Amino acid sequence: MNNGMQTGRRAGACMGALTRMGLSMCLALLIVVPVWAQDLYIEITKSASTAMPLAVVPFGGLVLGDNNNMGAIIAADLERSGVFRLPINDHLPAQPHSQSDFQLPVWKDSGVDYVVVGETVAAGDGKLRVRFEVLNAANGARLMGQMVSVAPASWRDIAHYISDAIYEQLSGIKGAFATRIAYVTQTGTGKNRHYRLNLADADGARPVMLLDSPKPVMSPSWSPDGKKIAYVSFETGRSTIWVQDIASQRREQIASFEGINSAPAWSPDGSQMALVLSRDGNPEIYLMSLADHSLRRLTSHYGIDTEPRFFPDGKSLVMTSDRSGKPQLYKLDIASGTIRRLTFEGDYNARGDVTADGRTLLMVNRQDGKFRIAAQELASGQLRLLTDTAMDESPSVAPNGSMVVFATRSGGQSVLGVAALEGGSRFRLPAREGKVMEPAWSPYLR
Amino acid sequence: MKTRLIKSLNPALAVLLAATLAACATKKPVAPVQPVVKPAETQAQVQTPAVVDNSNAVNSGSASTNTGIDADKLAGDANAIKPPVADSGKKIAYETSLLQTRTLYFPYDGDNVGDADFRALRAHGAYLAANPSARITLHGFADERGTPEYNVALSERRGLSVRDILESSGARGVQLLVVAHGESEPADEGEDEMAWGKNRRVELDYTSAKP
Repeated sequence: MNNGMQTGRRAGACMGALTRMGLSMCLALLIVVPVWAQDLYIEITKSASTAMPLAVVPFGGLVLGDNNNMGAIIAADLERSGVFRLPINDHLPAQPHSQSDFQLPVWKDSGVDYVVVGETVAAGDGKLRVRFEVLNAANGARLMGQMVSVAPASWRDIAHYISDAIYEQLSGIKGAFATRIAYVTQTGTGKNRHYRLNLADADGARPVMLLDSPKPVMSPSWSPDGKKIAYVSFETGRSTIWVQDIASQRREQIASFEGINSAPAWSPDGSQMALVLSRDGNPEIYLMSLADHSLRRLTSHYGIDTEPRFFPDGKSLVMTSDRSGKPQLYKLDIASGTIRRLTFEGDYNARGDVTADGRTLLMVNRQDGKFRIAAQELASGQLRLLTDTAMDESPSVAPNGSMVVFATRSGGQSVLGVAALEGGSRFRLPAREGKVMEPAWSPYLR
Repeated sequence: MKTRLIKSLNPALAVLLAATLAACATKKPVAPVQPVVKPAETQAQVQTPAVVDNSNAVNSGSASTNTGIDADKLAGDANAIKPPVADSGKKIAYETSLLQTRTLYFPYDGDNVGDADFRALRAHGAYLAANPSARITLHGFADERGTPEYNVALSERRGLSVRDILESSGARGVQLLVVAHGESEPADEGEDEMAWGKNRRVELDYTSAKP
């Protein structure tokens, strides 16, 4: 029996076409097929045409875990980012592991700008030493290089650390490869439906189950320190809000008032939770102090006010409200209570999420009956659509603002999608079985 | 094409669901959202369909003097301990058949109750009024389009529409509980208008003294 995942790629012909004919669009398909029980697997559906060509040579030295290679994880990370375009393995002209065995003539016409090489060796202290270098393919010069020491069990974390370092060096943006995604899976139909709240690495690896329930779970929200998750559970037959510590799995119910208890969202300083309660007659947004569970009501309109998310400075919230007739996004200033409408395009805008730099607002936008993920520059108000599917929901932006994960339907399946905010790159995370939904991207975890 | 193997790890063992906790806070009356029912209008609506629409209802040719549901009874006779006793067995059959309606359907993005459903709710309201120990939970649902949290709120609005009609038909607030489910637990998992129409619903669930 095969122990591991297969990576197959069919991009070779397409890559050739790109370089020869200068096509502006290229579809690259990367299928990572799970053999072990991994929840999610990756399908790249679109690669950026402006991506930087880069090769990652399989690392020399030790084979990790079950037939794994540091270089493979790094290659997958960099390709998913949309910033880089990688050739398939059999098109590598050579397999160097350091600058000293890099042969320039072999690489000069390879079509790549940079080559990542490295090696993993066992150190005397029981740890692994991982060395990597990024070399300029045109002249063999070393752009960067590091040696890191890691406990063998954490080899995946080091692979993502290296991906972050390379990504940052070459794109100028902080990497988010060492982050995680929380998501809900649903299996079964009708009375046999079963729901699980899970966490996995941003590439779908190492899933961990947090909650297993015969009733729906929704709206996971990470604490800013990445140690807890708040979520809505219907385990008692109606919506209630819980906070669960990831390491200890201990959980606490924080809201079970009459009516709806839902849409939890942590404040950036971790001290408060915005949430939605309909105890006063219709859904309104409240702030709960996590120290003593005291409540402060922020909205008072007979319409629906929901889906609060903090702006990064913690002073205001974006919220969805249908006070003008249909759902639109509004900015609520917490201190003054002032509410200002943010969205004007499309007849439905909901589920706002603001990037960490405070400049871009992600949302679900409906036009012509299609629900798509859109990004709006808050300064200019300019809106652009990021997806071309029709049933998108639950966008959650990565902590570096470069990618957004969302729930969507593809080929009759409920899957997660990931799109680059700069456009041009997308991939899917379908579940091995059942439906995936309600994703939430973690904050930085290191 | 060369392929390489990357390991994937087993998920950690499941966390079993903790024992459920008592869910409800102390119930207190919740002010309804803007009412959707205009009482004067509805009484007029009720009288005629009882005769005309239902083939089990009073035969228009019969000598029976019952040409419709007794409006006074509908208004909520708190002293009644049994459903209204009809002169004609056919009238009870009519009300019973209305009471069989346990699912109401709604338009896209809307919470309006249609005429046929409205008549069914009047019958349920009358039943609840006549049976003070009866309790009913109104489960509200939305179809899958749109965002899950907004759909929870929308599904509550549908439940509240139904609750308002039941209250104005004689049910007491304490008999009625609205639970909003949003887009989860669809009746039909399909992805077309037919399926979505079946999912935009309120389910009437008697938790005691079922008719």
